[in-house]
Amino acid sequence: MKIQTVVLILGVASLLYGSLETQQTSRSAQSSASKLFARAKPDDFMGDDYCLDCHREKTVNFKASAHSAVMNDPNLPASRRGCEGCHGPGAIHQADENPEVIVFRKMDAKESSAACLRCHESTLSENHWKRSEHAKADLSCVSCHQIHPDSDPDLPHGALRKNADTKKPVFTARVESKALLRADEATLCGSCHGPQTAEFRLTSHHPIPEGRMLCSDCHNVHPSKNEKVSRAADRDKCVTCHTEFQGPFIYEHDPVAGHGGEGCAECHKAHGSHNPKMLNSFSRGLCAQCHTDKLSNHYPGQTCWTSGCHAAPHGSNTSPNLLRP
Amino acid sequence: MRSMERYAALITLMAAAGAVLGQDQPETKPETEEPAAPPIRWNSFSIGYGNWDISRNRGKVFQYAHPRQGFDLREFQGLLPGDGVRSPWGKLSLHGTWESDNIQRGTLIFGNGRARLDFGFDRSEFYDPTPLPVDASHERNADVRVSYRPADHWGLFAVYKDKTQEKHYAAPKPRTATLARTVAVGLEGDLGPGHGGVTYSETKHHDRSGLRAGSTQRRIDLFYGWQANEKLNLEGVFSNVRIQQRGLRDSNVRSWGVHADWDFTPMTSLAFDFRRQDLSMPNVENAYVRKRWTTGLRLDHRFSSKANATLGFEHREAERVRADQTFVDVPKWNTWNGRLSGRLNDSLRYSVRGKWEHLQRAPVMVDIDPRSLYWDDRILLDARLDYHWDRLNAYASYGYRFLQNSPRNVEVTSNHLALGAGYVFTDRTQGYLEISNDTYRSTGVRDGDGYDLDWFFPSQTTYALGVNHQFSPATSLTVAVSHSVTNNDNPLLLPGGNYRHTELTATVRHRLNDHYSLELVVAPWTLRDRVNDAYGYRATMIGLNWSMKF
Repeated sequence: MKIQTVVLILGVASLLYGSLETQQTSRSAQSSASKLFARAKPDDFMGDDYCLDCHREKTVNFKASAHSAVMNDPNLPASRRGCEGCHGPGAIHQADENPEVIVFRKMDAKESSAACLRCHESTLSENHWKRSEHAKADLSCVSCHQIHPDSDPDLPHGALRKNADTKKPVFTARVESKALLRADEATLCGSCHGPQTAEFRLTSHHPIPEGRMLCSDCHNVHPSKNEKVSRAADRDKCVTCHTEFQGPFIYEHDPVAGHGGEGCAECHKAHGSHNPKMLNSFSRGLCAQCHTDKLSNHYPGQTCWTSGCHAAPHGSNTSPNLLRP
Repeated sequence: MRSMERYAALITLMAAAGAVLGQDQPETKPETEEPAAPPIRWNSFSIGYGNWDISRNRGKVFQYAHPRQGFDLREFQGLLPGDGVRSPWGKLSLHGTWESDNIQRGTLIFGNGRARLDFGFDRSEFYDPTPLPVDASHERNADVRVSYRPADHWGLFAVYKDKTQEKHYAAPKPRTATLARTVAVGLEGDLGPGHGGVTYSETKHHDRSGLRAGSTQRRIDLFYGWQANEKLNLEGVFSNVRIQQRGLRDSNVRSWGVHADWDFTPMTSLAFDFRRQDLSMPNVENAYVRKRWTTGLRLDHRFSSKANATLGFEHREAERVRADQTFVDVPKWNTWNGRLSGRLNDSLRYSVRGKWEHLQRAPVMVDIDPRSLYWDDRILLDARLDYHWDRLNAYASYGYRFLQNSPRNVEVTSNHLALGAGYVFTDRTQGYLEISNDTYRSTGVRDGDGYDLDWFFPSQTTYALGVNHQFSPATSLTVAVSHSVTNNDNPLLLPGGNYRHTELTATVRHRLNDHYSLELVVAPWTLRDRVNDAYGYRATMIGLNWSMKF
C-alpha cells in the first residue's frame, strides 16, 4: 500500500491546493462564439426566414438533418434556435460595423469545438473535450461531423474510402453509421487511423469491413462526463456481444477474467489478426507463452482447444482444467 | 500468375467500359451564371442483383456476413422532414434481403424536439470458416430506445435490447445458442452545482444450448461531475452489479472511483484517478481477485501550439483469495506512460507514445510448476508521422511491443510497421497505397522435442492499393486491391495460418441523370491455404445496382 498511499496523498493534496488557489482566479478568456452571443441583443436574432434569402439551399437542406428537429423548440432561447443557434445572430452578421458570423470550418479547432459545446455541454464539457486525444490532435467537432447534409464531403486529408470500397459493394447489408457523420465510420475513422485500417484487411477480423459492426460499438469516441472514471474494462465491452463468456465461471481462466492482465486482449487482437480467431499467436503458441512447460511435451498435435481437450479456454463451470464448458 | 493476368484483364475491361460510358456524357461546360439550386432529394432507393461463383471453402467467404446472392435491397432511405414541433422529424433506412442479412433502423423526433424514438432490427447469417459441412449460424438483434428531455438540462431514457445468437461449428465443438435481453432506464441532468445521472439495467442471459448456466445481471450506475470552476473538475462514479446464476450462489461486483483534473496553469494540467473494486465470487473455485485498487496521476503540458506532452503513472494492486476466502497474495503493478505529439510544421505531424508496466510483486502460483504465469514487464512504443501537403498525404507508423516473463525466461517481441500514402493525381484521379508488416519474435521456450515457441509467432505483410478515376462527371471507376501473405513455420501443419489472400474489387458507377444511376461491381477474391488447399477459396462476385433519388 506504500506507493498507493503516496500517490493518493499527492493527488488529493495537489487538488485541494488547486481548489483553494482557483477560487481566487478570474474566469479564463471566453471563446469567440461565447463572446459573439454575449454581444447580441434580443433584437439581433431575426429567425430562419431571414437566412433563407441568401442561403436558400443550406437552409432547406438543414431539414434533412436530425439537428434541425431539436433546434425548432419554441421554448429554447433565441440564441439556441435555428440557423442563428449555431452561426450567431443575423443582425450582427449583416451589420455594417464589425460584422461577425460563426463559420465552423474556418475557425481554429479549439474555437470551433467551443462553439458546438455551448449547447452540448450537458454531455461533454470543454474540459473533457480538451483532454481527449482527438482534441490534442487539433481536431474539432466538424472534423467528423457534418451538420448540413450537403456540407463539404471532403474527408480529412482527402482520404479515399479504402476498406469501404473493397468490401462494401460485396456484402448484403451494412450497419448505418451514426447520424451527422461526414462519412461511414469505417471510412471516417480509417482516414486517420491507417494502421488500424490495415489490421481489418487481415483474414481474421471484427466484421467492420463487412458492415456488421461500427468502430463506435467498442470505442467511446467522446469522453462523456461519466466515462472518464467509469471506463468499462475491456472484457465488459467484449461480453456485450460475446455474452456466453461473461461468467463468472466456477473455474476461471485468469487472463480472461482480467484478474492480472489485459482481459480478452491478452490473447486476442481487437481489430484483426493473421492468426485464426483474431489470436495474437498461432495455435498452441498462444497457450505456451505462459504455460511454457506445455509446448509439445504435454500433447504434440493440433491446438489446445480444437484437439478435443481444453474445449472451454474462456472458463468452465465443470472442469478445473477447462476441458468442457 | 494466371490470377494476376485475370485481374489485369478485368481492370482493363472495366476501365474501357467506364471510358465508353464517360464519353456518352460530355463534361458540363462551366456556367457563366450561378445555376439555380436543384430540387432537394432526400430519399433514395437502390436495388441490386449479385451472384457468386465460389470453389472450395465457402465458409471462409461467409465467415462474417452473407455476400450478395440474388436480388437485394441495397438501400432504402426515407426522410420525414418535419420540424419536430408541428410535425415529427423521422428517418427510416432498410438494407438487405429477408432470408439472410438485413438491417432496419428508424428515428423519430417529436414533442418540440424533446422526445426521440430510435429503433432497429437486424439479422445476419454467417458460417464457421471450415470446408466441412456446417449449418449456418445466425444472429438477430432488436433494440428500442426512447428518450425525453422535459427540461433543458435534464432528461430520461429507457432502452430494450434483445440479442439472439445461434452458432454452429465444425465437430467436435458443440453448437451454442444464447438469448440476452436487456432493459435499462436512466435519468441524467444538472443537480446542484454539477451534473449527475443514474442508470439501472437488467440483463437476462439464457443459454439455450444447455452448456452454461443462465444468469441475470442487475446493475446500477451512479455518476456525478462538478466543474468547480474553469480550472478544477471533479467526478465520482459508483456501480453495483449483482449476478444471479441458476443453481449457483449470487456474485457481486461493486466499484467506485473519483477523478479530478486541475489546470494549474493555462498550459499545464494534473489529473488524478482512484478506482476501487470489491468482488464477491462465492462460486469461483480457483484463486480470484477480491479487491482491486488503481491510483494514477497524469501531467499534461502544452508547450506551444505545436506540441503536447503527457506523463502518467499508475499503480495497481489486486488482492487474491481462494474459494474459501483464504488469502493468497497481492500482486502489484506500476505503469509509466508518456506521450509527445505535435506538429513540426504545417505539413508534418508527429506522435510518440510509450508505456512500461512492471509487475512489482509476483503472484503465488499453486500449481505443479510454481513459476509465475504473469508477464512481469510489458513495454509498448508507438511512433507515427503524418505528412500532408497539397495533393499528397502520407503516414508512417511504427509499433513495438515487448513482453517478458523472467521466471519462465520467456520474451515476446513484436514490431509493426505501416506505411501509407494517398495522392490526388489530377482532379479526376486519386489513389492510395498502403503497406503494413508485422514481425514477431519469441525466445526462451524450446522443449525436448526441439519445438521452439518462435515457430508459433508468424509474421505477415499486407499490401493495399486503390485508384479512383472519374471519366466524366457522370462516370467513375474505383479499383481496390489488398494482398496479404503470412510467414508461418507451422510445425503442426494446421490450416488457417499459412496463406496468401488477395481481394480485388472493381466498381464502375454511372449516373444516368439527376434521379437515376447504375453501378457494376466485379470482385474476384482468392485465398490460398498452403497447408490444406481445401481451406482456401476462389470466388468471383458480380453485382449490378440501380439507384434512384426522389
